Amino acid sequence: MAVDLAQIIPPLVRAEVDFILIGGMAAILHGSARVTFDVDLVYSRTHENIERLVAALAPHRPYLRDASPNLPFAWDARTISGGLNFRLTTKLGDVDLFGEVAGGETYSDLLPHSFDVDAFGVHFKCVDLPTLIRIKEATGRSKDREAIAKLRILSEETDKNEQG
Amino acid sequence: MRDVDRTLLRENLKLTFEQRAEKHLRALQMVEELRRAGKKLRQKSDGR
Repeated sequence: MAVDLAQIIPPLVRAEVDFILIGGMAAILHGSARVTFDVDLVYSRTHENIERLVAALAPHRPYLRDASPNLPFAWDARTISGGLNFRLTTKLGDVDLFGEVAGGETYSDLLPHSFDVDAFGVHFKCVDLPTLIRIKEATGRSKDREAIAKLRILSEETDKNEQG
Repeated sequence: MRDVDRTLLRENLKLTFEQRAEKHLRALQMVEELRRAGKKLRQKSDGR
């Protein structure tokens, strides 16, 4: 299912969920030409925010991605509080929720390295390009090497574009 | 990297955030359509 940011982001913002867009969709907003199939979000782990996140996504039937359909998985604040990172499938497409990214950084750590995006009728946070590259590097996965090299080229082009 | 099309990146940088997301969604829908077509083709050839 083609995941659409315009469907996923506004309900989260309207529910006042504290999150930062990272990963491939953040790269797309920075101008990347790579196709990505899911939405990656770092969320604040405060109890109140977890409650808001759970309520905002509940109508979209989140379930563990690639898991057996009969697992006793309950989409509630207790489950999210008891875990950290979740690879989910929803009626709106695949969503990955991160309490912590590679390198151990959390929502609070990444907040100073994010910027406001005005799109889809709402404002939300997206991680900046240097931090996006740093997170990818911290994962240390060989499959990310090409993506990192492409993000560095995007960074060069962004700098040139900003210099006029 | 030699195989990166910088002109594509430069074109993307001229777009707004929403336009970049819309362009990606169209590309994603095309990839999924191709996947579906490939799957049908494989099923058809398996059925022969």
